[in-house]
Formats: sequence, C-alpha cells, structure tokens
Amino acid sequence: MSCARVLRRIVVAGSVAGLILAAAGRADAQEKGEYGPVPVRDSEKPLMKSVTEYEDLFVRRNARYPESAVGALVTSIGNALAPKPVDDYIHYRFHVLRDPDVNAFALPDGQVYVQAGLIAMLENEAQLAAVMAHEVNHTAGHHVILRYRSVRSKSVAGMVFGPFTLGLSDIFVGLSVSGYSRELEDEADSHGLSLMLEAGWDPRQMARTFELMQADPDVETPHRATAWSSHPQLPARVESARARAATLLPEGPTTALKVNGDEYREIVRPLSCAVALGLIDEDQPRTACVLARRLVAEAPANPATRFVLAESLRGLGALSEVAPAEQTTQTDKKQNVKERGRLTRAEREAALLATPEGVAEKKRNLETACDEYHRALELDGSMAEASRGLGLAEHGLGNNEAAGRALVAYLRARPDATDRPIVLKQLEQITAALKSDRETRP
Amino acid sequence: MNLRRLLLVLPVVLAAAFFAPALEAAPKSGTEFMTAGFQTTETRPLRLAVLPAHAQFYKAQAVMTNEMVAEAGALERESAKSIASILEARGYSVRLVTRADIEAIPGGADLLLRFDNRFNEELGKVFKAPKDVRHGRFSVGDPATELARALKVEGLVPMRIVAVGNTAGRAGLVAALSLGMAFVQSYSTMYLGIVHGNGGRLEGYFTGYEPNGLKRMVQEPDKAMAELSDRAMKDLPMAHQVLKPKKKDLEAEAANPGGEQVGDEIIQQFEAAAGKSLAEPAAAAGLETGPPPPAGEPPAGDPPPADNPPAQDPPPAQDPPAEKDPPPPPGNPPPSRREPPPAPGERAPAIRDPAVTG
Repeated sequence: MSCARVLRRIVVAGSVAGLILAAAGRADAQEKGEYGPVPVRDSEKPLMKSVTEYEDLFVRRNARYPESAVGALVTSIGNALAPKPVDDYIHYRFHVLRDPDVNAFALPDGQVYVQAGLIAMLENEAQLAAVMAHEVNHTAGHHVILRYRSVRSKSVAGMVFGPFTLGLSDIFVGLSVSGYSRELEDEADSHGLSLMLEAGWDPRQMARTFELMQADPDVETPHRATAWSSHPQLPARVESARARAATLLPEGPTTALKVNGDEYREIVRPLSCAVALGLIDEDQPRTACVLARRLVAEAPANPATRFVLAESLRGLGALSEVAPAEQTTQTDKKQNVKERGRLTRAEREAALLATPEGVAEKKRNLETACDEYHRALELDGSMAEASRGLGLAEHGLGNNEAAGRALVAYLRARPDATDRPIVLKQLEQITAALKSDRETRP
Repeated sequence: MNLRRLLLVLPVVLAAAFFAPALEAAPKSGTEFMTAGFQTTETRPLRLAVLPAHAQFYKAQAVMTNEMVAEAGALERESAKSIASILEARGYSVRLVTRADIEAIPGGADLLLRFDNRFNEELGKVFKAPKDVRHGRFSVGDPATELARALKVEGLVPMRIVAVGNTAGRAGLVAALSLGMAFVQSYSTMYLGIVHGNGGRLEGYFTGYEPNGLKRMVQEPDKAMAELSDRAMKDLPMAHQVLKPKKKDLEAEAANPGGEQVGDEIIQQFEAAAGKSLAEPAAAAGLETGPPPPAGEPPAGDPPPADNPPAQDPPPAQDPPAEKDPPPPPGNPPPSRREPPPAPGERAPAIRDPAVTG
C-alpha cells in the first residue's frame, strides 16, 4: 500500500470519526437539565466528594466574606428562589466570596457562591435575584452532574477514535462539550426568568444584568470565539433575556414586581468600597474608578466613597481613566492581556511614564486624587488613611513638604499600622528631597 | 564464567553503570534562583514566616481527572512543616504560620489574601523568566511588607504545590493506547519563594520535582512532602553562609538594591528638614484628631537631631509654596485646581465582562 493511500485512509477515518462525535455532541446538546431525582453513580462519587470539600477549602483560604447584611440578603434571595430539593444530596446554602471579579457559580450539592465583584456591580436586588435564579437552576437541573456525564462519555469516544483521527477527535470533543455547556447555560437563563417572576422580582432586570457585564474598562477581556465558549455570547443573552421576559410578563401594570434599587445599593455600599480597593490591589484601576465614581454619585457626602475614588485615581498611575477608543480593539485587548502576563507592574508603569502623555496623565490623576482626599478629610477629619493617600499623592506630584506633613499625620494617628515601614520609607525619600532642595536653593 | 558469557554481560553492566547516575538524577530535579543580596547575606531575611501552603492535587483516572481537595489539605500541612524544619536546620529562625495566627491579627485574613493574590500574580511572571529573580525583578509589593510587620518577621515563605496522581488504570490505558511507547508518572512539584519583608522583593525562588506515587501521596503525605521539600531546598544556603554571586548579578543588585528598614527617627528628620514646627501635624494635614505621638517620640517642635542642625535650614519665610490652599469650610467643596470630576452616571456603571458561570 502506498504512503498516499494510507494517509488518505487515515484522513477519511478521521473525518468519519469527527462526524460521529459531532453528531453525538449535537444529540447531547439537545438534552436539557433533569429536574427530577438524579441518583449519583459510582463513577461520580469522586466529583461529589470534591464538591463537598470545596466548602472547607474556601474557609481554609479565607475566601468567604464574613457574615454581614450582604450575606443575609444573598441568603434570603436564594431561599426565596430555590425550589424544593428532589435529591438528598442537595442542600442549598448561599455564600459571598471576597473576590472582586464578576462571577457566580453553583455546585451540584446546593452550594451557591456569588463573588463580591458581581454584587458591587449590580444596580438592584432584582439583578442579584436574576444571577441567583440562574445559579440555583444549575443545581436544580443537575447541570454539573449531567455535564460530567457528557464529558465522560465523550472522552471515552475520544480515546477510542483518537489514534485514528491523528488527535482531531480532541477538537470535536472540545467543541461538543462547549456546545452542551452553552445549551445548559441558556436553559438556566430561561428557567431563571420564570423563577424570578414566581418569587416576585422583575424578570426584565436579567437583560440589564448581562448588559452591565459587557463593560470592560480595563480593556483586557477579548471576546472568545462562540464555538469554544462555555456560555452564550453576552449580546445574544441580552436579546434573548429581553424577549423571554416580555413573553413572561402578564399584561397590565407591573409595578408590583420588586426591583429594590436604593435599598440594595445602601446595603452593598461597604462591600462595594472594599471591592473597589480590591480591584486596585489586583491592578484593575480603571474598573475600580468606574465603581468608585458610581459610589460617589450615589453617596457624595460619604467620606468612604470619596476616599475610594481618591485611591482609585492614585492607583491609575500613568494610565488614563478611560481607555482611548482606538485602544479597545480585540487585538489591543489580547495585547494587553499578554503584556500583563509578561511585564511586572513597575515595568508597565515605567513604559507609560516614558511618554509625555503618560507623565501628563499621572499628574492629572494625582491632582484629582488630592482633591478627593481633601474632600474625604473634610467630611471625616479622623480618616487617617485619607491622610496617608494624600501624602503619597502629593509625593508623586513633587510637593514634598505637603506630602511629608500628611504622612507624619498618618504615622501619628496610626502608630501600629501594618504599612508603617512603607510610609516611613516614603518619608525618608521626601526628607532627602527636601534637604536636597534646601541645599541647592540660592 | 567463560569468556563468551563475560563478553555478553560486560556491555550491559558497563551501560548500566554509565546510565545509572543519569537515571537517578533525571526524574528528581530542583532549581534555585537567588538575588545577589540574598547570596551575600545583605538582603537575606533570617527570621522567616512559613505561610500556609497552597496545594492542588489531581487524581487522573482512566477516563476523568478529579481534584482531591481534602488530600491536598494534607499535602499543604505536611509541606509547610517540612519546609519549616529544613529552614530551622539551616539556622533560620522560623515561625510556622497557622490559620489561627492569621485570625488573631486584625485584618489578617484580608492581608494574607492580598499577599497570596500578589504572589500568584508574580509567580506567573517568574515561570516565564525564572533567571530574572537573580536581578531582583520581581516584587510582591506592599502586602508583603504589611504581612511581615504583622507577623513580626523579616521575610515570608509562600509555597505552591501541584501533585498529580495517576491511577493504575490510567497508566495501563496510556501504555496500551500508545502501544507501549508512552507512560505516565505520578509526581509532585513545589514552587517556593523567599520574599523580603521590607519591600516585598522576591529574594529566592526554589523549585522541586519528585516522582512520588499516588498511594504514597495519599497515605503518607508527610514522607512524600518531606522528600519534595528536600529536593526543592537542596541548594538553600545556611543562614549565615556567604555565597559568591556572579558579576552581572552584583551589578543588577547595585542598580536595584533591596529594601533597608527605616526607623521612626525619620519623622524628626523630616520635621527638621521641613524647617518649621509641626506642632499640629494632624490639623495641618486635615486630620481633626489623633492619638498623641508614641512614647519615646519627642513632641513636634523639639530640637532636631544633631545631624540636621536647624542652622542649615532656610527660615520658614523662604519656604516654597508647596502646600495646597487651605481647605474650604465643610459643606463647600473646594473648587478643583484642575478638571472637574465627571458628572455622576457619565459612564456605564459596570465592572467587566466575564460571564456568570455555573
């Protein structure tokens, strides 16, 4: 047999196997969640064991947000939405994670986690209910278990056909798994809307939730190709949630449906401030600024919101507060992600400061930050952290004496602060600069 | 033994003798990278806090791979203990930090989380260019300084462990599907950093790889982690042992020196340099109230230290107008010296674009 013939046979076999797998994938993708009892098979026991242990892991990592008004709100919404469990291994409990990223997830034994970043981003209680209805549906519909079964069966098929398809089967398995995952997500959205309405929340808020998720101030979230995405694309989700909500809503006035905007924002304000500071720590200052601006708009006389805005502006460094429109293409976003993975924070800042625009931007950001620190101190004169931030910002502007005064004030107000060595180091530089100024002055 | 048999056996014996060291060394490996300051002991922290380890443990079965969360917890505990004992044996003063220690510190949980996140971020970059550790390129930043101060140590030792255990079924399947050409091995790897508590620079980076079996990692995590820790820390110098760094590492150190501790005396030095009384520093900076200066700290306005005689300072009247305008009365925010902040609601009040997952 000639080499070309062998190769042709392999390609034909690969194509056939691929088509079989793709067909299997489509057949699975048309499946839906199972809302009746789903006994756990022996092969799924390791999955359930890990899932149970995750609860301890989050405690061990200090990842759970301590009990608070926000935690109580999340639990009360979750309990209002969760259907009666049909399996003995499902026991709903709702937790908030300290993570400033926007995300939520559910585990098959009833654990539902909402990350602090998502709670801070939402505008009202109905939007939180939309997220939780979606997640509760993943558990109620046994989506994780069904997806596990799907991956398992496709992996076996991939192993059998793998050697004959020169590895192409892995691609088909991946596509099939992603497709199935998108189907389940779509189902969770659809059922979630009904749950929201039954519990009295306005289902139209689900579309708004997806709209909010589309923002990307730090321009570091390039879109993924639909075929490989585990979730439907957000614009499509907005449209579909809007259309479904319209069909669900009864004719006539809908004022009885709950939205609870003001009360919600009041409850989540302290957590939102913490999220904004967490975003600065995670080097996402533009996102922090967007959140901080919103907090100030909601509570302009609250010193904490002013302080958070000032910290966010200082955290921008040499970055512009809003990414220039010409730097928001998919290529730019991919490049930004790449650079974040390659360069350290100091190197990225140095690269920006090597340009006149970067220098000007940093000056502008620090000046605005100083204004906000002053406002925070006017509202609460005992806020030593604002004094610290003011000192650091003034130092960045070269106003050494003002910087030193503010830092000394902080050091005296917080003698046991953990960041004392950092502030002392700054003060040392300021003192050296002051001495140098005095010596060189005629 | 006749000559013919000897000639047959001899090449095999010689080949085994030649390859044995290589076979012994190949699967077990460890590497280390240290800054010049660490090597010369200039920036080597001697009082260290071994932080709670993070371990991920995957069990690869014939078809699916599952995470072993509880077993990973055992690896975390045992690896931290092993590392602490190795450090102690080499003359370092060690504090093995537990969750209870962290909870005893006000804000400790947040601090540790911030540190861990920053260390993970840096570790991603270290993987790409580990040799740059020698040039002091990587720093965990402020969270390291704060955590070290809270724990009262000079340096921090975070570590990450990844363990993969292949079941016999998996090994058999891989061998069968590859017609005996491939095999899988269970192993654990460790990535350990020594972070300076003043400035947060990554002073040392140590890695280790140990091919320990799944059964051993599950049933004897203490022994498995002791072997891995030994492998990772094999080149850690004794506490006071001076190594000779390369010339280019010394040059990099000179350009980017490690942090030195600054004492509280800098406050008086600043006051002397500022050249005027800071009797009411809190009021000057906008603070209404504040506790009195710590004991031992002279009140503001006291004579400056001898190395900063006031005669060298220009009189206050000549001070540059470095200070801001005085803040306006409360309720009347000062007109911004620069551009006004954007109007409320000017931008979409959203954060970012990841998906809500399930």
